[in-house]
Amino acid sequence: ARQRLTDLATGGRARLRQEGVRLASMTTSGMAKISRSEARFIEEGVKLGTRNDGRGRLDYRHAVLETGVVAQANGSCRLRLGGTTDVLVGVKVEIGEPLIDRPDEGVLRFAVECCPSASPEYEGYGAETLNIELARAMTRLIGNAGLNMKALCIIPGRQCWVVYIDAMVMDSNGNLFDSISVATRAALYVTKMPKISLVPSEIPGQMEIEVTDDSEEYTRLDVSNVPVCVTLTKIGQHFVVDATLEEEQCMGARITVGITPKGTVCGLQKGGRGGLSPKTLVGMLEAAQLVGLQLIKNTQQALLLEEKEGRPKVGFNV
Amino acid sequence: QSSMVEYVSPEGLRVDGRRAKELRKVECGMGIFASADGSAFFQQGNTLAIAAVYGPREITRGPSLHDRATINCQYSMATFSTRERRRRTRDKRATEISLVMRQTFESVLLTNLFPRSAINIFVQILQADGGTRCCAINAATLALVNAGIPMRDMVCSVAAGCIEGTPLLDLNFIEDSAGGPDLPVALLPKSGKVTLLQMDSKLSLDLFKQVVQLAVEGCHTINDVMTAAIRDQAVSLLGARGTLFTSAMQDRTDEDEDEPITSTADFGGEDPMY
Repeated sequence: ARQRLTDLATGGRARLRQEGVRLASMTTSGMAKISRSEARFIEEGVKLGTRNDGRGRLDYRHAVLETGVVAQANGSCRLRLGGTTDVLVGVKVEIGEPLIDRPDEGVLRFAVECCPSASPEYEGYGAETLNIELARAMTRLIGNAGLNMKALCIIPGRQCWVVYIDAMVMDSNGNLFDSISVATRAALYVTKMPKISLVPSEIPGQMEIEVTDDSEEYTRLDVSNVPVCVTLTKIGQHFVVDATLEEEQCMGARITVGITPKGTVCGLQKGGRGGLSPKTLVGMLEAAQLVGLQLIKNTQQALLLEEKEGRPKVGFNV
Repeated sequence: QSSMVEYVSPEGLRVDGRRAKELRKVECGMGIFASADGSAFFQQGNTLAIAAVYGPREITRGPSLHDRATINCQYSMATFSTRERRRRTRDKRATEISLVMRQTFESVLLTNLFPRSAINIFVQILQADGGTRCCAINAATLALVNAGIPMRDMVCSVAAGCIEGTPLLDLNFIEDSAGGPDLPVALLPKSGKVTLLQMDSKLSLDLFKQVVQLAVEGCHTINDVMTAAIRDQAVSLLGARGTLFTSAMQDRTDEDEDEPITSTADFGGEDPMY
């Protein structure tokens, strides 16, 4: 018995792989396992251009988004992808101090929390690495290029708007990068910042901030440059968009691309095991551009429709 | 006592227009997440909690109890749930509430049916406006029912308090911060037993009896709301499965007689799966 225990501890992984079970990597959500036959089934399907739920390689799942879900936040959006990936993004703005090396810009802070409701392994500090990976990727892809940071400055060197974007992953079935980016874009679009004016303060030569009491007066953020992420997952020799959890289990490499509304690439993040040849990379970027622009267009349409129709809030009443 | 805010006006209205013994508007629903074994949301006024239950599952790491299931509870608040953004989602208060919830459910779940396994209850507060631990307990109860875990009784919870000698039911954040006593109470409605009772500040004994009685009545009302929600969900599930004629089918008029009934309704001939 003791020999078997050590065998499992040291050579366990290798033995399980021989038996045809692939173990998940930590950067994908959850520790779901799939068998070698299932993985092969998915790969063969992708080669023929069909996935398990009948989608084509560049098709997104049906997405439902609703803004204004959280009453206390300045802006919020809940995105449900395929009925199983559920992401809630809340935006809160506060007045704070700018960074020392950027005195005339506002500050953007992105945080992601994967809740244990998505998977019991995310309890406690279980999701820490995943949270950090998502937050850092979002900051890299959205933080620097998207918002007009100079417009968030109030008094250069002393006061500026600090925008806190908090994303919560409540349920996960793959494709967290894209969901978080689309929900963030929508949440920023509906964010209402209290209107402020600068008045001379008692200390001569300095200005004070006065916040208006009227809740009907607010300023909006300019999201015309905020990008969305498109994640392309390489399965076998082809790549797919919007991978589900089981597709992520059999992926080779993955690349997340930030696409701006103008169609330019504003950030890249490669994940997963395996390498990508430069030729495939160019093909993936072109596909990402097409998909990204379509995604932005659809999101804008949905947001405008929501604004116009003003239907009652559904919230969690599914 | 002089206060800037009038908590109870001379006409008997509170800051949000309620009477002293009125609950906030309750909305709840089950089955909101696909991955969890059971899930639910519970909203009391502006306080919104979502709960997910995973279990009973095998314990792969850590010690397990040989004769019953281990209950694991985690309560956390979203950073955007309060008016001022919270820096940390889990702090000492959250740990205490997790412990208190675990103790509450340990007395109610039939853990002896699942030895060596774990039942995980995860609750998130998405909006906080007073009474968060009560809302969390209610959401967790619904999630446990949604997961099908056997329980002795439902657990219904509400917080009551007392401001300037008037017992108030279901305090919101403004009333909670008034400095008066705050009593979260959790009740098992069938047996009438109280499984959670906490209090801060001070209260005279006769007022205490009134406030506890008010909270118990409030818990019974919450129980009615929860039972109705569970029943509605069960009826809609059975209707979707085709084992029950829903009222929509009963309302068919004469014009619909020529159209065939498209659902495969069964009159009890289906074999249950378990």
